[in-house]
Amino acid sequence: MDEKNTSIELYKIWAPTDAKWSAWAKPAMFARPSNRITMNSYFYKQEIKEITYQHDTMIIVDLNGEQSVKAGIYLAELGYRPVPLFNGTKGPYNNIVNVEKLEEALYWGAQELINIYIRTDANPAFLLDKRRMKEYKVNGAYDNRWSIFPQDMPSADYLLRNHIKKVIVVSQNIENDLSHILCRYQEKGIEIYLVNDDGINPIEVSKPSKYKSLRYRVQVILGLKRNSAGGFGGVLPDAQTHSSGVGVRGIG
Amino acid sequence: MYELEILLLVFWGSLTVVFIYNWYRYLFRLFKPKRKTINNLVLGLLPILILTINLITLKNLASFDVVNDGFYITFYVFMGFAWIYLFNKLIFYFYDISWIDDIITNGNYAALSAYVGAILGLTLIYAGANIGDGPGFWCVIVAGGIGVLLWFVLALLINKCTGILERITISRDLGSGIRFGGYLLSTGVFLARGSGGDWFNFWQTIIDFTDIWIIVPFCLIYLGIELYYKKQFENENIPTDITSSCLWATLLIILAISAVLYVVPPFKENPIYFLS
Repeated sequence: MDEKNTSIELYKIWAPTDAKWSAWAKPAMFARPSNRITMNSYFYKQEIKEITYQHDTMIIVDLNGEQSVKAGIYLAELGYRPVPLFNGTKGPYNNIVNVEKLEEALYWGAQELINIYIRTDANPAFLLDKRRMKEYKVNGAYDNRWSIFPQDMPSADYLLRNHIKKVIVVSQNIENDLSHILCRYQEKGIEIYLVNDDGINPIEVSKPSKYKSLRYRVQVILGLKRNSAGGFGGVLPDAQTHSSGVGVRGIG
Repeated sequence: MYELEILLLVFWGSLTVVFIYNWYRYLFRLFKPKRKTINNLVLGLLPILILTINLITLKNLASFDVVNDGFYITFYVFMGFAWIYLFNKLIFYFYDISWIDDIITNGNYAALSAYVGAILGLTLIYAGANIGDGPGFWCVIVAGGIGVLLWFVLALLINKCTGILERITISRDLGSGIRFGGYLLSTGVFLARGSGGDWFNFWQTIIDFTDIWIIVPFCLIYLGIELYYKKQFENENIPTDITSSCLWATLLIILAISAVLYVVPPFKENPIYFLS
């Protein structure tokens, strides 16, 4: 089996073709052949006691890298379909967002998922990496920061059509990019809950700046580096080493 | 002038190479386990379609000094690709439709339909600007530029009233994508006619755009259609009907072509070019 097929196989375990929410899964983190991944860590599922499977509920897990995956596996055991939305790639060196453990966790998670039965129409648990926009640009580093946009998640209409009336966000706080999505849900009457150290509480998401602006996505993407294999990731130019910066520029 | 045109040929040619290279690199290199082959096929064929439309126009309807001149045909073909390269970025900037994110990565068919209509509309405006005689390439840029400006403004006004772009990129409503794609293509037909014709002067070019006044009631009709679908989408929360959307898109295109052929007056001819 060639390297490309091993990546596709791993991706298909996380996003089976027949699963309802697979259309939203991001393949960027799976682009590196899985047989090149070496497991250096031990992973175990992360419990979230406040959550049970409910037919009208969707989950968004916004924790640091591998913690999201570990929580995703726990939610899979509850009956949710974990959908990876990680859109940054792993660079050859000096990654701004360290995704090494996340990559390993996805590999571990795939092995766990094979043994878990999840209905094809099970409600989704979208997995995000909270560090996606946390770090700052460093010259010469591999800029694999990324952002989540309303286009990357199901619309409020689609959720309501699928009888989802409640969204639970597992995170310490709501990130700015996620609030663009949650605000749209809230406007359509979907209830938003936040699970953190204080337990599970309903929240009111306030409108972020540039909310519903047609220029919001393009302006965010202009500050990031696209990767030609998909997702985000590219070397930032460094004046000292004369690196021009490998990656795809521009918008479109 | 000729030296400038050689320099510009190199410039347009470079942009064409960058455009084609990036276009097919994304189509072939991007890791796509989702296999949305229709999206890739349509996007793969678009540059060929752009080339065909421009070549047919340049060989048959362009200025007398262009139609049989290999240098000028190459010049304007390259300029046509540079045109699409630039406005493709503005489609993302103004319409928030990204061919990389929405179409290739997310496999959004609604975005594909709207995007194809947009690219063909832009190509038609460029091809239209090449119709007729004129003293230089800048006539094409000025006339086509005004056409594209109107095209963007009209579509953004439609979006302001209907919120169609959000239904295409976020709700991924295929019916909306098809109708909006049909609208963008058909307004491209009108504005191609507006951008075309012999060059007189800048002000005459602006005045010539009043020949296509019918685009205003046309846009109002489309606005009415879109408001109806918007209401249906919001009240009943069901995706808009694809068959009726296809019919509306086809009807819009037929209406635009018929109006340009039978309602809009023929191109004004500048007698100065008969002497050349």
